[in-house]
Amino acid sequence: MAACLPGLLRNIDLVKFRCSCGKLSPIYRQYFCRYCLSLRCWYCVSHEVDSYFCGNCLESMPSTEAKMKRNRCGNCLCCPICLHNLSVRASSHSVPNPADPNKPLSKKLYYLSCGQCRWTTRDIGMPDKPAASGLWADPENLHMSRIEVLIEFYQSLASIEKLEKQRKKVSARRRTLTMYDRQTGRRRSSLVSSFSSLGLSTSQPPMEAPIISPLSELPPLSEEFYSSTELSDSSTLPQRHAVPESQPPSRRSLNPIHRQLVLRRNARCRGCDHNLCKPDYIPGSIKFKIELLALHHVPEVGLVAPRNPLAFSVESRVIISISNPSDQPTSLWLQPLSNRELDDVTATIIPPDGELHLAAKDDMAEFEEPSSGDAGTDDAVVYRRSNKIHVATSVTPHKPAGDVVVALRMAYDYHNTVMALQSKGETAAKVSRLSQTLILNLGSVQL
Amino acid sequence: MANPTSVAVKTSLRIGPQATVCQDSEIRGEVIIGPKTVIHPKARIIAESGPIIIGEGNLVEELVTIINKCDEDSDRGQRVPLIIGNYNVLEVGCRLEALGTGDYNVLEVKSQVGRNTVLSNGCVIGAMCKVVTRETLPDFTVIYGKDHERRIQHERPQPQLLQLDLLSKVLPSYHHLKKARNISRQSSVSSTASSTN
Repeated sequence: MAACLPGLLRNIDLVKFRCSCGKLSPIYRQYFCRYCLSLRCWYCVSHEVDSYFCGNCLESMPSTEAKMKRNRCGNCLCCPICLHNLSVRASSHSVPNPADPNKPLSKKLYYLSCGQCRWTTRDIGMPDKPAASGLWADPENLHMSRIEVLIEFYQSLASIEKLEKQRKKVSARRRTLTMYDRQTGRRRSSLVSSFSSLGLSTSQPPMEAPIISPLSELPPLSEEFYSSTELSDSSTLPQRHAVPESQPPSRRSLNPIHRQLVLRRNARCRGCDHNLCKPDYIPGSIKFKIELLALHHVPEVGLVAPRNPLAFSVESRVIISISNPSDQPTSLWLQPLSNRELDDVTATIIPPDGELHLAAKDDMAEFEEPSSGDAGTDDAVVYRRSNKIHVATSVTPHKPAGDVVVALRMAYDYHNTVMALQSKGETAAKVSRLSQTLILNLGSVQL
Repeated sequence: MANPTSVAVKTSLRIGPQATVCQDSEIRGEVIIGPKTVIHPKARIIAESGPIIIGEGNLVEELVTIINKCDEDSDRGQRVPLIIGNYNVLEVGCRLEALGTGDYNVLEVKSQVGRNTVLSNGCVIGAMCKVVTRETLPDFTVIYGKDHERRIQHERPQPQLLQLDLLSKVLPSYHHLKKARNISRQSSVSSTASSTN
């Protein structure tokens, strides 16, 4: 089984492909653009915001709604101590029945409790609520009125600046037009009246800046700062920064925090602006609307043998596996890369010459019996099964210490189905010869 | 860890009334289990260098190791008992070596408590947390998180009465139980009271 998943069960970073921007990354982390026929890694893809969702209740919302809610979920609350999810717990209390004083009613009251640090809303003195959700009110922000005054002042400043900018533009136009109109001899005042019809109002007197006057006298420091220092009662800095509106110094004032929303992003190719990766609308779904992963379009290369470290300057036999992701048979050519092109290479590799044939990917193959025939006409192929082959190469490390790194160039035929759909009359998919640069890290040299 | 080639300890097991001890659990040495306690299968209670006394209403889940094993250099030769109080919950995979444990404690999954720690009442040792310091944890301490942060909780953990009830009814229908000479209720209360004092 381990031989079937060479890349995944062993180190994922063993085989790295060179992306079109020059960076190396494993094939599992790259995208493939079908329109420009090139690999795109995480860094040469432009990321766009798709939507926001809450990690707990999986409620999705667009960017505008998220902005209104300040990137917080309305329903889900987090523990202020450890930022873990709060779960609702019920406790039954007996309440005197107003109708019959002898039989007390049992009423269910709810409180929030953290699973990790065992914090409850009772710790801050919040009374239990009769309903499970919706009654967990946030405390009022004490500074809200001051913030609103400041926002109003700055908004008025911004509008004044905007008007001035427009007036400058208009006055620039006005100067050219007065020159023009000197020839006709019109009076300037009529020009002013014509511009006022554009709707520019005269400048309003600016609002007074809402400055808080500094205190002349400060009250003396209360005695409790010197006597009572209960460290277990004071909040830590991360806990205070999670509630920037109040930043309470005492743990008894820490209220539950609304959970922050998580971003979902689209990946777009920087070359041709096509979407490479677009997730499904439902946050809980693992499907994609558009999924152009490199794994589905570029042959996957992995290391099969040897498991032991290679010895210095000894030509060892290394077996790599190549698997075909497409549903058309492909041909593959492997060529070594010279050391001049890449700096990290510490070993030479002699891959097999000639064309390697790979069968199409067959989804039913795993349910059928493995066919022993069809070993193929290629000499270098050691093992073949449906769309996967194992190929023997020989590797000679140059350096006595460090990692054995080899570089290969892989050329293969890519069947492009996109272009076939777009052009009329052509039923066969367009076949293009693509080539990728591979870097394989075969582990450290045997000391 | 229990060495199979160590000195063979004479197993003497006394189980209180209404306690449920599964046959598949490994109990070695002198062990007294209080009433209403439930010991799941695959639990290991090993009293190597001293007896183990477990109080009432405790819940000892699978793969739990309660081991009374002295250090090589200290307290050699003395047979110190390992005492666990009442209504504690030892969740799956935890390891308790502490000589003194009070009531209403919760040791979460895969937590470990060393021999020199003393757990008082109402403490919660979080999942995968390892506490081996030579100290007595204050009442209602909660140790949680990757960095073993601590805080004091306001309420003690609820005793798992419903769970104990359910298990004492369900476990016998799927597992064989260990039966030992029952000790009377009065003597069990007095023994736990005298040992915790």
